[in-house]
Amino acid sequence: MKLLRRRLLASLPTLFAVITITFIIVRAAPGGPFRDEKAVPEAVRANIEARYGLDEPLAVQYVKFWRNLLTGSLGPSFQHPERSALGVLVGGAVPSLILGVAAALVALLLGLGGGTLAALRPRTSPPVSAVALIALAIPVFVLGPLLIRLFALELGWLPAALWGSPRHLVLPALTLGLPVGGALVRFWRTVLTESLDAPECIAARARGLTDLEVVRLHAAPRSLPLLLNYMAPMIAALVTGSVVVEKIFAVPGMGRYFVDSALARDYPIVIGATLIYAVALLVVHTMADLAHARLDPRLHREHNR
Amino acid sequence: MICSRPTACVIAAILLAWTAGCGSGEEHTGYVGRARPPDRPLLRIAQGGDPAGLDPTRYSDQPSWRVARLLFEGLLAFTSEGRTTAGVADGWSSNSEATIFTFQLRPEAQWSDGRPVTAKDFVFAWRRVLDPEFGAETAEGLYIIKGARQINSGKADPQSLGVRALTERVLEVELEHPDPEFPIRTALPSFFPLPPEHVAARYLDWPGGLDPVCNGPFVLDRWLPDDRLIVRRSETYWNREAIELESVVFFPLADPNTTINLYRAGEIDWTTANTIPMDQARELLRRGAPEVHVSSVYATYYLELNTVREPTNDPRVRRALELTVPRESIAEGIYGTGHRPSRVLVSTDLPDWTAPEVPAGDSETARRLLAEAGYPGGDGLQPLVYLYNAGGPHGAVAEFLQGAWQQQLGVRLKLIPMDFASMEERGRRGDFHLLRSSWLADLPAPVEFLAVFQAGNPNNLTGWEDREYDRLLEQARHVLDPGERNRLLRTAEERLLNDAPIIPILHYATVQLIKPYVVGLTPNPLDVIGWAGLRVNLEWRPPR
Repeated sequence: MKLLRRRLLASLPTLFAVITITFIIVRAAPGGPFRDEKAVPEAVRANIEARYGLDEPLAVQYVKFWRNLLTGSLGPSFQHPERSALGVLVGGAVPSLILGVAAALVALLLGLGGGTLAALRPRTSPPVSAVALIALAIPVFVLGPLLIRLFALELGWLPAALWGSPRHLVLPALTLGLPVGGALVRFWRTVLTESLDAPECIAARARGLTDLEVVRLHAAPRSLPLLLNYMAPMIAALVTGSVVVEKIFAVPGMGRYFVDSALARDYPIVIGATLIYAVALLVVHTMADLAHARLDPRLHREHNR
Repeated sequence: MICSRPTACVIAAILLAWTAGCGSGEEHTGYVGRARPPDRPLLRIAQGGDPAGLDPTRYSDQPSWRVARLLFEGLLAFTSEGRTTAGVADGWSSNSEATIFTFQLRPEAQWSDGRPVTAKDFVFAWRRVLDPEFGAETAEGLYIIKGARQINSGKADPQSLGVRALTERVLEVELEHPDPEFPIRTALPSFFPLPPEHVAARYLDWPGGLDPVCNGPFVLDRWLPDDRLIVRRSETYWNREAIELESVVFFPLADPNTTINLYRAGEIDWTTANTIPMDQARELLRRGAPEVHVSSVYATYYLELNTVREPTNDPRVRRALELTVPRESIAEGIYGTGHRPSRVLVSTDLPDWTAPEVPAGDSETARRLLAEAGYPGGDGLQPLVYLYNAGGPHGAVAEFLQGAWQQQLGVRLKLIPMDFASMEERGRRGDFHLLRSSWLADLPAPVEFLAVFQAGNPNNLTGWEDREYDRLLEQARHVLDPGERNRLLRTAEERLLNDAPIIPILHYATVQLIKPYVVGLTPNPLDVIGWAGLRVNLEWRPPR
């Protein structure tokens, strides 16, 4: 608990800095919001800027922005002015979260399964590694269309894109999860192999435990802290949405806002998206640290000292 | 050696064969993917993005307009062929100077809550668009109404706008200058009516997440942002008998590949203008697939030249560049989807319009002009700064020009790709020699294009101004005879092209896929849809 409190307190300055820097950077970018291919007369532009407070000095905008933020508002989205920026982002965060969790499960299943197999049966290591390497090496913008071609267009088993049912989740989750899984296979195999050479694992074997029991009782617990460190940023990235995968499969997630809102100079969305990503990273890292502390008594003691 | 393992060999071979066989089944059937109508009268449309919002008068992006035209209707409307027809108004007339128009509203037109559509609804909506506090980006479209500009600049009271509800069913509009074609303009969404009793409560952000009360052929069913927008047939629309579709679904698909995948999978019936990948569009055109429709569009791709900065301030340099643009190669080699090379700004597809003569010349003339300007063979020329917005084929066009001008004139280019907002900002500062640009006309009128280069227009980044040009355009605005008006406009365009502050390259075209069972949908240059008579033939089956 103490650790949790300390971590949360420590994250506040980080968030403050993230918000302030983003606030300044988006406004420093050339051009501005509400610029379409067709330019509008000065009077029209002045009216738009006045409406969204963009005509005020930067300092005033900054103060107002904080006042809004502390009441839980980011203001309206500039791309969708009838909707609040927070509403836009939260609406997108849900599908992104669902897809991210599904992709993380795919990755963990594949990574831990493959990695364990390769570590326990060295003979299977080259083919497993090869498959993992392929999964890791194929970029998602190639993997996605390949899977669509095969499972949606040729075999007709799954929808080619869109959102709304568990069936719609399969292909995007595979596309997003496979490369991460591939990386995880190789990581987990290495870590587990080292753990299996540890004295207590050798001893456990000598006591007649089966391979899987050795892994479950000794090798895996030894390796978990490393796994947590490895996976934390990946999971944060997965659950906050992947621009490419969401685009390919037309998932209504928040991934696209990272790019589109920056290009459209949609200041409230840019700041909101950055903030959500930063919070997700902090949360995942904090959770990893907490789990870490619990798994590794030495750390636990250190923190409580 | 490459295939030392048999299994790997086999897998690789299968993958290769599979990729190579792409589309071979389609060659056989002639259809693009699955061709089977939905089980009820439903049209599923792919468009490039979500509408900005549902207020028809507030936005100018194409997805918003498409949805606005489903939910709302103006005084006039469009047919499937892109021609105007009676909408809420069933009759209109003007004074002999074409400065005052009177519209009669049909008594059977009503809002989705059952109240009749009245002249006051138009007066309210138009005043709101022009209200400075509302800050609508579409306000300029209404500047043709008397007093509009002053109101929008905050210098006049909205009540002073030149529009009056003479009775419940008669609307009178007074214009700033004569315009015999004003009625067509009222078919644009920024001129649509709104129900004041519903809008007033959320004046600035209506409908802001609520179901809008509307007067068009459809009403909103639900909108799942970034996912889909569904509308269903209105029970109150005056012409509801002519609407055969039960519902329409819009999918905002940002990725052209996703769009064509869903079309192939039979989950989309119509891909709107240029929403499929260009290479696949080209391939389908080559194959002559009957589902592919190419339509011209009133839009032109051109370069803006900086007429203030050396060396493009010299008309001879500009003309030399203009004469040596490999337009055919760009239109065919880079696009190849119906785009037509052009040396003029105003789309040559406009009805009753004849393009002006363009100054003749070949690459020899161009070299001579360049030498006269003091740069024989490009000697003494620094590389010209060419700005373009990255993405799409703009980079390829820029590289094509770079090669052609280097080879023919010895002129070198410094290509600078940017995001649109940055490019616009830099263009406005005048920090460029050439800048990629384009113009899309909302209405089929030459002045829609030409007004861009009238003094004070914010879309003109060239720094070029010409009094005679401005005078011709102003004069044309006061001429009622279409032939005479076009003659004046043609003279104006001739002046523009002679001075070459811009280099027109091509007129755009759109490629759209429409399933064979969709009846009554005709792609047209204004990219509008007439919903009356549009239907889905549910019994349709591929002929054996």
